[in-house]
This record gives sequence, structure tokens and C-alpha cells, in this order.
Amino acid sequence: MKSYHVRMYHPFPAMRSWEHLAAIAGIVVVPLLMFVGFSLFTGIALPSVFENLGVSIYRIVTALIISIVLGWTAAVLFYHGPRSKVALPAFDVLQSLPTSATLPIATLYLGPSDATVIIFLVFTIVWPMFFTVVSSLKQVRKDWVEAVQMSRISGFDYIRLFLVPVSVPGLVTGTIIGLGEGWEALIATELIVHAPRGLGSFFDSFSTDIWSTTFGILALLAVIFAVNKLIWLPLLEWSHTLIEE
Amino acid sequence: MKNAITVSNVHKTYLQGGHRVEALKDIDLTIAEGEFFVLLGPSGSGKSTLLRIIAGLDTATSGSVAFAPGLSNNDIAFVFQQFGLLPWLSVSENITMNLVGRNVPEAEQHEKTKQALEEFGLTRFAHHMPRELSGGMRQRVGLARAFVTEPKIIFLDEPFSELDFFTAAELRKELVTLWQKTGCTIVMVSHNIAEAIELADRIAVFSARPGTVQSLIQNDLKRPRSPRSKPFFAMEDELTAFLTKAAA
Repeated sequence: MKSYHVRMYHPFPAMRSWEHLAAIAGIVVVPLLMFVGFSLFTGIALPSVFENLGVSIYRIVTALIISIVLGWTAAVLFYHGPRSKVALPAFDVLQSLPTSATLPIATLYLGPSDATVIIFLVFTIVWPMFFTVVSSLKQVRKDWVEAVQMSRISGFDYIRLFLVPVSVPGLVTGTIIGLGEGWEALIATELIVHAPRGLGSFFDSFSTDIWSTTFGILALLAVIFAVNKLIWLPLLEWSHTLIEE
Repeated sequence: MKNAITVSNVHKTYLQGGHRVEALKDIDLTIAEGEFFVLLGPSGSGKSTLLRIIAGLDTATSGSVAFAPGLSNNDIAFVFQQFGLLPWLSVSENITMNLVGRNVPEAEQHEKTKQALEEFGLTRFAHHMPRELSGGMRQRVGLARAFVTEPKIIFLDEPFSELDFFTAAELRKELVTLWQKTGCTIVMVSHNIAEAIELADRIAVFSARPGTVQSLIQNDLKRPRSPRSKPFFAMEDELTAFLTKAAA
């Protein structure tokens, strides 16, 4: 008979299960209520609030997916061997480049488009992704590598059965750090390039009203907190059980 | 009997903290097909390094290793001291991995994995993760993973040193049974004299660094071997004397 082992993530470990469910419901409901309150407070129509939030989420999720693919591929290619001796210091310098200084020029050529915002978000998110995956790969135990070598798996099976699982803790940690920096970069980029729609231009529209801005930032923080509690922290815990011996 | 493995004039040196360390020197060995061969020596004598060079997990600084004609990389398997199980794969997936790497058709993979699980008493643990198993059960998975591909040569690097006395004794018996049943060649590293006498047809005694083959001992004791018999004790004394000399 098959046996399954399900580890349920408890955001508040001391709670009983009904309290746990209530807490989760609260985490989901509170940000929504904050946006409703924000809409009533500022007089901005609720669909417009959600439309701008949706556009920004689309941009940051697209940038995250691109960063995962680029960061993971670069990490796998350059984490060890002679190439790493050149690549790692080079990437360390590149991650420190003040990319926002080039935003006006990029806007001139690419326009205040989704592409401009996404490209600059990728520059922000890809580096934590790259370095955390490199760190994960460097911590791989030697006997795992040798067991894989003796198994003779190669190509897609090597990626599926070995490279991806050992990268997962780095990918999750990189996503958490990358998104932390990404939300800030998102608003700043949208503000600087005057992107059509999105939270940056939305905040720009009432930037002189301190109370509306504060309310808006608190609502956004509630969303980020909810996403962290419900998605990233459980994933972080799971990713470490994956390589636990 | 034909030679399965020929090791010719193998040397191994490596850098450690800026100093050149000579791990192996002038190693010449031939291991016959179907033989149970044990590399025995004190810690740091390079026996594991030699095993890994023969298995292709490390490279020699000079010298060569040749397998019998017709043998390929797919015909060899390795059992690790600390099991080498991938913690994100279940017991059955760890075993199947060696079949996936050898492009065995999927239906055959299922059948062979099922047989290996039964043979090693792991059926009930097929969907468990390695972390849920004891050391003995983990090494059973390591052995099942090695034997599932029906290899011609199996390398074992101190496979029982992490296990308790009773589990190690039980697994040694099972290993001998499987070796006799399959007729494969086994090359095993050990620092345990009694274990070497119980299992080996021939024993290469290694000297301390740089590792050299101090002597080759033919073990003709009748199987199954009782560690309480007089010939066993006599051989134990002989090997102890060799090892004491080798370690000096």
C-alpha cells in the first residue's frame, strides 16, 4: 500500500486547526479589505485599483520567470570549474552596476512600455537568483554527484533528476530576496519611465497626498505579506526538506 | 580465468595546502572475472582513491586501468560508504535512476525495480524517502541500486563501516549470496580484517602513504566462512602482522 507523508505548513505553529484556517482566511481577506478601504478613502474606483495592481503583478511575475530561467542557466553553467574563476567575479561586478542610471536612455529607445519595466526588473531580480542558486549548487554533497555519475543519467534526465532538485532551495531563496527588491524596483521604474498603468503611475497620480500614499503603501505591504506567508515561506520550508537526509 | 580489470603502474599525487602529496605509488594489479577482491589497508593508504580511479570517479596522475574487452561503463556499479542516496527521490526512484541512465525501457524499469525491491526486502519502503530509513536499510537501497542493472563489476567503498555490527554481518552474508548467484566481479575497500577474510577470494594489503600493494593474499578458506574457526584465526593473525608492518 502506498503511504503518503503530508507536511502541512502552519504559519502560526501554536494555533489549533480552526484558528489556523481563520488566520489563513485573514491573510487573504485583509489585503482585499485594505484595497476596498483605499478605494473608498481616495475616491478611486475599485476596478481601477485592481487593474493597476494586476498590471504591476503581471510585470513582476514575467520578470521573475525570465530571471529564474536566466539566473538558473547561468548558475548551472558557471558555478564551478575554470569558467567560474572568471564568471563569478565578473557577475559580482555586474550586479553592482547602477542600472537605474540608464533608465532614461532605455525609455528613450524602448518607450515607457511593459518591456522597459520588465527588463529593468530582470536586472534587479536575476542577481540574487543567480548567486543563491550558485550557493545551492556549491553545497551539493560529493557522494550525490558521484552517485549521479555512476547512474549514467544524462541530458534531460540529468536536469530533471539532479540539477533542478538541488537548485530548488536556491531558487526559492533567490525568489524571496529578488521579489523583495523587485517590488521596490517595480514602483521606482514605473514612476521614472512613466509607464502606462501599474502601481508606480498609480502612486504618481496622488503623490502629493500623504495619507493616500500611506494607505496605498500599507495595502501593498499587506499583499506582499500575504504572498510571503501563503506561498514563499511554505515553499522555503519544503525546499529544505527536499535535500534533508 | 580471464582478467576483468588490469591496473598498470598507477600513481596518484595531489596538492594539499600547497604541498604535493603522493597518495598511490606503483600500483599493479589484475583482478579476475568473477573474483571477490578486497583492498585492505590502514586509513590514508589510498585504497579508496584506487577504487575510485578504477571506477572512473577519479583520475590517476599516471598509469592506466583497463577492463576486459566488451565491458563498458554501463557494466559497472558503485556502492558508497555513506550510501549516496539522493534525498529528493524515493527508495524506488533511487533504484530506478540507474536503469534510466542505461536507457532501459520504462516497462522494464518498473519490473526490474520491483524485483530489486523484493530481493532486498524493500517492497514495503518503496515510497519512503531515504531520510525515513535506518542506516542498514539505506545501504540495502544502495546495494539494490547497484545490483538492479545486473553489472559485471561492482565496486564497494567500505559499504558496511557506517552500520552496526549485526546489520553489517547480515548484509555481508546477503552480499556473498548475491555475488555467488550473479557471478559478477566485486572489488571492495575495507579496513576490517575479519570482514576481508569473510568475503574475499584475494586480499591486497596496502601500506601507509604513499599507498603501495604490500602483499597479495590468496584466501582459500571454504565458504561459508566461520569467524570462529582455526584457519580464520590463523589468517587473521597473518593479516594483522602484514597490516602492522604496512602501517609502520
